[in-house]
Amino acid sequence: MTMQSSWLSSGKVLELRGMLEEVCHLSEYKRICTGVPELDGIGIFQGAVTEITLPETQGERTISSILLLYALLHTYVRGDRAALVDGCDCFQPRALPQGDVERLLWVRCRNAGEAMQAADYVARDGNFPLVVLLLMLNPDGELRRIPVAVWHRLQLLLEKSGAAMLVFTPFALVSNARLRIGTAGSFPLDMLQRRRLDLLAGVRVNVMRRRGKGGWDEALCRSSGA
Amino acid sequence: MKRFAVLLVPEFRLQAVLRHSPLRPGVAAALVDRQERKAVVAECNAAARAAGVSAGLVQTQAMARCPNLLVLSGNPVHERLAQEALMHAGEAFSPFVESTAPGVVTVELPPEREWREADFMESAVRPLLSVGLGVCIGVAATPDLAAVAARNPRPGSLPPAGYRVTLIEDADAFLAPLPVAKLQPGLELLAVLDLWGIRTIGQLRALPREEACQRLGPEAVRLWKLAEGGEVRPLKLVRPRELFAEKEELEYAVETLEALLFLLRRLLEKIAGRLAAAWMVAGRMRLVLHFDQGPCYRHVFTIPEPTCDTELLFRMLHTHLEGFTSDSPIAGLELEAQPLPPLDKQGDLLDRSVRNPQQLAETLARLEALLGPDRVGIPEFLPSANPDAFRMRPFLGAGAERQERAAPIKAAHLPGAAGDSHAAPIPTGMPYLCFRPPPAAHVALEKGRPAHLHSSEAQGAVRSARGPWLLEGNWWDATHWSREEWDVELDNGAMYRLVRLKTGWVLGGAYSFHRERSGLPPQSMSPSIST
Repeated sequence: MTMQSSWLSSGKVLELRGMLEEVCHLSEYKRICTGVPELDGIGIFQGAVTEITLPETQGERTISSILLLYALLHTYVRGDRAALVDGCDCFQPRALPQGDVERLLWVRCRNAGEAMQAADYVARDGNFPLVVLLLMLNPDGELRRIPVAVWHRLQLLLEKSGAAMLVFTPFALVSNARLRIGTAGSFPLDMLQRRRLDLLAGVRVNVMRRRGKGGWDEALCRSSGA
Repeated sequence: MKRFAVLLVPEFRLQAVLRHSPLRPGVAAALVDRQERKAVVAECNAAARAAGVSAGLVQTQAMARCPNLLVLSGNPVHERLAQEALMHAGEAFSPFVESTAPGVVTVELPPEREWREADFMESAVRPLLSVGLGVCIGVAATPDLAAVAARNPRPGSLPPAGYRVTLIEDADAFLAPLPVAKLQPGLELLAVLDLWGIRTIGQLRALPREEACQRLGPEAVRLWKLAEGGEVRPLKLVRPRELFAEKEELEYAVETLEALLFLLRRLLEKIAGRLAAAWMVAGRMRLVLHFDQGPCYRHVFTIPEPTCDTELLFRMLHTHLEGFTSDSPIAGLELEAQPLPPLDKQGDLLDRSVRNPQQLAETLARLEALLGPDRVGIPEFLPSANPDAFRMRPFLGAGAERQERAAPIKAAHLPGAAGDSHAAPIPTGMPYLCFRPPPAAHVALEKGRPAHLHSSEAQGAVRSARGPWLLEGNWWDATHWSREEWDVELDNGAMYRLVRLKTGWVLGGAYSFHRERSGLPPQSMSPSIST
């Protein structure tokens, strides 16, 4: 099922998704509203880990994930508090207006080990409805050395605190992610100076996997940009 | 029978200044105030009065009468210190003390204690004399009568640092010969009484009270009350500032965290108990650790939601001290809480406040212990065009709290809302992820444009490049910086921000990057590499 977000408002997508979940009995978790139509169309779960990564077929085009990250921070942090656990101190705050980062707790880690420990602290805090864990620029070796048990512990902490965690990874990494979203998009060099909203319209997101009650389900719905 | 004592410092402002100046005793001095561009004498001492100076004279007139007159200006700090000294003198004799006016303190004497001038002299007057303040004391059955007695002491000279006590046993006998002006009536009323030939308080009291008050108005009622000795009124008591601090010097130095926490908990329980008894909460805590050797360690804890809960306060101390190490054992410790009245506020209907401020403070302390204080907080942009010009601000600082209150909730985040029409526009251009610190890059140029890139993070031939964008700042001082920025796309599809600094090329950031998977050899370098 492919839909054009340009002509389908996020409100209708939410309504349709609610109807589908009611029929399929998928609604175990509440969802948060991020303000990014591409993500709200899919639905980000509270109290669970959502992984945003790259489909293997898309090669190494991380640009759409980066664009999605900044769009998320721009819209969400203006209204509520969020924490960004930066895996290798790579976030560029001046890519957003100062007002957008006033409610953002930026945790600047040096490596993935520190980032996982910091994410643990923030996840158990309970004061941040949204926690973003940015691991895109960390070396592969560091990321592969993260024990699976750490992700399971994070999941348990999130279930207790009710926070939503979005993990941005360069490849599928989080084994117990409730939702795995793939991003794609083609942006030639001469497009880089366009308006951010125009660029965002070129981002395609799709559900790579969604974990149901009985384990992993294949993608149930897709939402794609123009 | 109740008794009240009024401690009055004559020429209070002048005495407050004079006691801090190294002057010869007996010098004529006056304190002047600026009134409509003229310096007018407000107070003067006995030596100046003897030379003909009086309050209300212009400074030049006063100087004409007394050429050696020392002219001084008021000093609010000295006056506050003098008033505090006066309060301390009163507190030494009784806990019921009122700061009635500048230079005037009223004390309610303990009824069970018999009045003895020698006792009063010892506990209240001598400390004042030792700090250079002369004082007049009136003791009577009412505060008003005591004040009149203090203002009208028994005849005799009052040295610069002396005292005089006037005890009123018979109010009528004391007041009757005094002029009516001593009761400080208004000028109009005084003029009317003068026309009637009423000069003394005794003559005033001889008038029929009701008829006189009907003719003279409410001010006359107050005057009659004073003339009859005043009435007992409750004093506006001044409570001394309580210090919520504990200090302990250890006989045996402490080397382990457990022992330190045990001691701190004991101190904290005492302080929290005192805070609770005073209906106060701790807004800040100050911890000082003294070592066997070396300078002491100080830390101030800002409590996000002021409380007197021992457990919460102790958890803050515990979290902080978990990451604390010292070279020498701890020989003493001090703990002080800054008291605040409890904050009673109603939450905003639309504001999403912090769910658990204490937990948040603890989380931030843990993160700071893990990463360092400059790595946790809110980025605050610096006034510079440099893309990496920012500094970190504490998340729970005053500025952040202000922003928390000021920033309204956005409609887009309420359930069912479709969008945020009031949001600031998203900046133009693609954002990128930074490399901190930026790795050095070798860049081969062709016709002035990047043609090949090699760095620890990226290698490859440049397929296309956009730029240069030239940025420069602080050219007026030694921190001058300049950078030339390029956006490049490599032949493998990865896109980077290249920056040329004074020191050479660096890789500033990545829009879309290519990862070297295991087994792939690094690409060969072009022979025409310039850096």
